[in-house]
Amino acid sequence: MPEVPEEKPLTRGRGTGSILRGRGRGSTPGSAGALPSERLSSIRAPAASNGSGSKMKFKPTIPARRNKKEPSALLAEEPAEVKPERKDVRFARGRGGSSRGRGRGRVEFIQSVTGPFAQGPASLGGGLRRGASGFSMGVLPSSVKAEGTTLGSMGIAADSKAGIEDALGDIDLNDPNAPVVLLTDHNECAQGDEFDVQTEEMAIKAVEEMTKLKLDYSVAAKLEPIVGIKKEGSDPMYEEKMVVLQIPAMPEFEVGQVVLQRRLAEKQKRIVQRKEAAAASEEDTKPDIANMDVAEVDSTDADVKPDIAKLDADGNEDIKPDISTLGDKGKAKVEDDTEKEEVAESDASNIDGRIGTLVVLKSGAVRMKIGDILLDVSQGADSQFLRGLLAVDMHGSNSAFMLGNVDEQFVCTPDLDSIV
Amino acid sequence: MGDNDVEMTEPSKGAAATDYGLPDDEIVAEIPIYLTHDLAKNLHLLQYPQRSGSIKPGELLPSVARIKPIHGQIEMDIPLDVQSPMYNKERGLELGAGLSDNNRLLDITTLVSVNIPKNSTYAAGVFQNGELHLTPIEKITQLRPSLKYLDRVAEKELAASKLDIDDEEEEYKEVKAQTVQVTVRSAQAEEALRQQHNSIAFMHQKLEEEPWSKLLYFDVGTEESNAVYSKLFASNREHLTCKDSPDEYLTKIIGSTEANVFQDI
Repeated sequence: MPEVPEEKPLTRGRGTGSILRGRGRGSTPGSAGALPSERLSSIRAPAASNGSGSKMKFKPTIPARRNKKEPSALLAEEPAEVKPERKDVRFARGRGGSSRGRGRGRVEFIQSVTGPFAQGPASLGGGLRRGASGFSMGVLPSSVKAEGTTLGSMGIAADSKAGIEDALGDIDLNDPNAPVVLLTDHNECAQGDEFDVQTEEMAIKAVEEMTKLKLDYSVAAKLEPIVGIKKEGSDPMYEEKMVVLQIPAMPEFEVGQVVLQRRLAEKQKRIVQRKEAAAASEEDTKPDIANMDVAEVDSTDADVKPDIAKLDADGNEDIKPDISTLGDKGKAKVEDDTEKEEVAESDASNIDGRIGTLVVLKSGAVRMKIGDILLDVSQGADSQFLRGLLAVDMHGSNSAFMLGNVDEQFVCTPDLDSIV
Repeated sequence: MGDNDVEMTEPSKGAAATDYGLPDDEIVAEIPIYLTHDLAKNLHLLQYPQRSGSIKPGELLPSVARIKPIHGQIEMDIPLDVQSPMYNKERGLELGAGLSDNNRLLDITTLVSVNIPKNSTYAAGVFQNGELHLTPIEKITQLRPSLKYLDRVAEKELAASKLDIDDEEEEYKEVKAQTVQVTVRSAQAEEALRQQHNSIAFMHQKLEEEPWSKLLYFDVGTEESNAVYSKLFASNREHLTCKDSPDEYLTKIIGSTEANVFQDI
């Protein structure tokens, strides 16, 4: 049988050679040679050195701290151990309840609102502010709310009906270092529903709202009195309105050949008719001149003159029509002039005609189709000041003509889905 | 539908908007769009930043209007109601010294045009009888009050306070000989001169040097304005052919996206 070493008797007292001495935390006094299982005690002399006889306590000053945590970590996290000896509630709060009611990894910020620089509710973190007022940063519609809370950091669940008093139950309000939560409308539990966790469903909803916003429905309301959409079964009342359209670029247009030829033919016909009328009026007035007074002759001359003036106003066109009398030279000249007319007619600066269609749809969207180009029509910048259209002739008569007010402004943006 | 026919503006109500990229939607109203260039070179969008509401006939009617044809600057003298109980005649007399030396009240406010650079294409649209007629806008102009009368008042006060001293300085200047320095322009000097010509100060100087011409102003509702207003409507109703395809239009807006753009990378 092996020998069991004898246990040395426990002895107590100073100067027994034991340098390391516990502080009453389970150390075995006088157990020389045994390693302490707890934290090493201070090597300083015990409190007897300060001479007061009282035990020195170490009270750490804990500043406001931040905890950045991931959602999964937050959700899975168990409440941290709260050491019973530590009476500082702030630590407990910060670690214990932070997993509740938190969405994304948002910064928790617990701050004691003291001093002249205290900012009140705004200092309690952005999550609180966002959760209270709804999401009003302009990215998402106001109907979509983003939540965040510092109540969650206080250990209050989103659906918890517990009052703040419960959460504050352990806090000594007389302690200057205790956290202060301003009891305002923002963080009352009655509004706890607003502090929901933002989920994927809400993100999908936000995307749908954005899609709806892409099509501006306010334009349709403004066009109602113009095109009489509202009234059914009765004659539409068309209002006359002046608007400004903002387009990224004006497409180029050309007159079709068929249309061009037809327009030239009509023009030629008009000139011929005018000449014939002028010639007929001259023949009619000649016999009358012999019998009439001078004054009447002057008046007939005056009647003839405007017709000539009209012909002159057409430029060189009055020379062209007498093809039968001019011969080959006349024909060549006519062809040159016709080409000039064609160029003039097809010149982009002279083009006018129908270029497309503006449609108002049942959903309220307004679209414009110019050729094959599809454009979305949306409300333009809302102008608070007066706007008008002025036609100015700077190179001729130096005149300005005020044409009227600009009532609305619309923006046309190309529909990239149809183009790309 | 032939080109000779006038386009019918009967709305195809209830039809699916397949041609407009929304096949699930219905057309409620269809508005034909016409383009005209009769006033394209003359149309100005006027903005009055310090006024609100709408322009009524007789309102903002200038007593005198001026124009600098080369630079396109417009000035309008809008009369003030000096008989109004809200008008301070004493102050009006003080400030009227900036207009003339004859104890004139400040009875006008001068609006000066400022050109606003266009970052996009703007077109004036007029709705009439269920049709939309577009005319491209040439310029966007803002009319702002001119405070030159304050400068003249300040100059007069300065001149009055330093009258004697100025006389002595002028005599001295007459006696003093002026030295003239002749230099030959180098290439650098040419470049500097070119930059000077492009500078704002130089352009402003050129603007100041151009004389004013009288501008005939016709208010809204007058016969002349109504006659010009009728030019906002296209006379031809035939279809025009769009020369730009959707891709070409996109290229026109955003520029070329070919590979040579990325050569520097």
